[in-house]
Amino acid sequence: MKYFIILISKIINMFCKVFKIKCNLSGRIALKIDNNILKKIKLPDNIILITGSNGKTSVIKMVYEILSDSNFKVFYNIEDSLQIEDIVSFILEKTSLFGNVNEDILIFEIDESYVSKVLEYIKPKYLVITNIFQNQMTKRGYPQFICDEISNAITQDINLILNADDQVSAMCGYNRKKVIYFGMNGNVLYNNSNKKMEYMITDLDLKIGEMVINRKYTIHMTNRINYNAYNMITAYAVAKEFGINEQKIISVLTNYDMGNSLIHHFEIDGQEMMLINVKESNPISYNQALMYMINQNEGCTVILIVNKTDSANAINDTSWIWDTNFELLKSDIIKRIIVSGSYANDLAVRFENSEIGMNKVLINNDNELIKEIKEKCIGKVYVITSSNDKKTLNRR
Amino acid sequence: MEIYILHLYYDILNLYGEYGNVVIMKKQLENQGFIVHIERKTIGDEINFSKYQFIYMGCGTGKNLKVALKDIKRHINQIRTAIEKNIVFLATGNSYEMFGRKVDKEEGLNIFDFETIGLNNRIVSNVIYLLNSEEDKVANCVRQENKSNYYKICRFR
Repeated sequence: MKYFIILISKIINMFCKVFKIKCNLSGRIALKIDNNILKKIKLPDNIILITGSNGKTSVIKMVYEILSDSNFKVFYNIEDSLQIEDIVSFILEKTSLFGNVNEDILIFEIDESYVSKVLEYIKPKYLVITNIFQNQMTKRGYPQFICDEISNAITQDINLILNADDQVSAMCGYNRKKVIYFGMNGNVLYNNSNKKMEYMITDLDLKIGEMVINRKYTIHMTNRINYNAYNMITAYAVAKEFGINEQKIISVLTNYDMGNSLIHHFEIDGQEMMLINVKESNPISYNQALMYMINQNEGCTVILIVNKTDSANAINDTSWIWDTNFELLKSDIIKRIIVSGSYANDLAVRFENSEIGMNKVLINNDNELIKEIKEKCIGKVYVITSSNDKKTLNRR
Repeated sequence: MEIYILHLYYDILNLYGEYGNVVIMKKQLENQGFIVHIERKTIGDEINFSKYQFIYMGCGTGKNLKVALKDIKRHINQIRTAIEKNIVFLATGNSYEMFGRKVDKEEGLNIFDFETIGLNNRIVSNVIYLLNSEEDKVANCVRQENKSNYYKICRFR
């Protein structure tokens, strides 16, 4: 029976590829025919699940580079809202007609609210939790709840790789033997960990772009942002657990470019601008963007473009606007704030009712954004928007 | 005219930006000419409830609510007196559960006749209320719900 399922799913996957349809149809059908299909396939011993609110994709890509560099055969799957059907589709695609997956290591990116469900089907060797932040109200629950769910689902034989500086991630390791922690040494903001950290960022200089791990190994950072240091230490931790030599890891991570994720320079009609990409409705992501701007210490204008998206979770929830520390914009470094997009008025309400006040705030409700930028901007110009809005921006 | 507002458990019952309710209230009152004092109190603090005209409590995680509930019981007499003196309480999210008879197995403040019973699943959906006003007009009110419990009304007075 399992060979039949494997064959069918390969045909469906091929069909989807030819017609460029992104779907988990093969996974859905396979699970309908046999819910235990994954147990009947010979999976590699080394399966890594990476979950968390931020950093999953960056960490997976880095881990892939490091492990591939050491000649492991690695396959990974990164997709939004990865559900069990997607995982089954992916695995069946990699399964030979004899029922074996011939890779050395499989890595999956899992949304934090799906971890307990996925663990019913797959037994990973490693579970990495980057961080767990508060998310939209429409998603399945707040951090503590998610931690409980995950903790109840993890068996004692799964190795946990956790962030000692993230309260919820760290909590998942409570009372467990097979736990390894990474984090930052002497971090005032997050340091609530009494646990011993195996992998520590002992020095971090974002101005020159250097981080030091365990006082010994220096990495030169291409993307000089706080949380990239965390992504790197996470990848380092995973690679070390696989027995990769430190020098090899450092050689891959040094000057590694995270790619398009965060900050872009671009130009519109001669006006130089910096685009900071944030995660939609994610207060932590916004806070990082705001802190980055303030830390540059140069007078600037911020353009916040926030639009309603088509995603399944999109509702008129504005609670994230209040959870974000927009008070940072009170600083004298921020000379002007322009708000645009469907949430422009909600943002304005937020500023009006805070110590920021409306003096330096402009609401842009029409499509004359470019004109306004040219006329009203002071100093360096930052545009903060989520990836979905980038297309709108490009059109303008 | 001065008004004193108490934001109770401002730190542990502050899920999903609830503190914004107090911020907006202050601004709106100031626009109408009031001088507004907001005092923030939490677990272990000494509180004189009679000082305030308005008391606000926001939404919290299940665990935090249990912690708040354990603490709020020492204020029960002051709270009953405050209600009788027409001091207004606004409890949003799950904080109003504390005013019932029970929150799961923990005893509540016993001011209203209902119990809160926990579920194993989370319910995330929209809730529609149909409001009938005195002029026989019906309004639809939609709100977002994200809960893992339901309410049992014991007696409706």
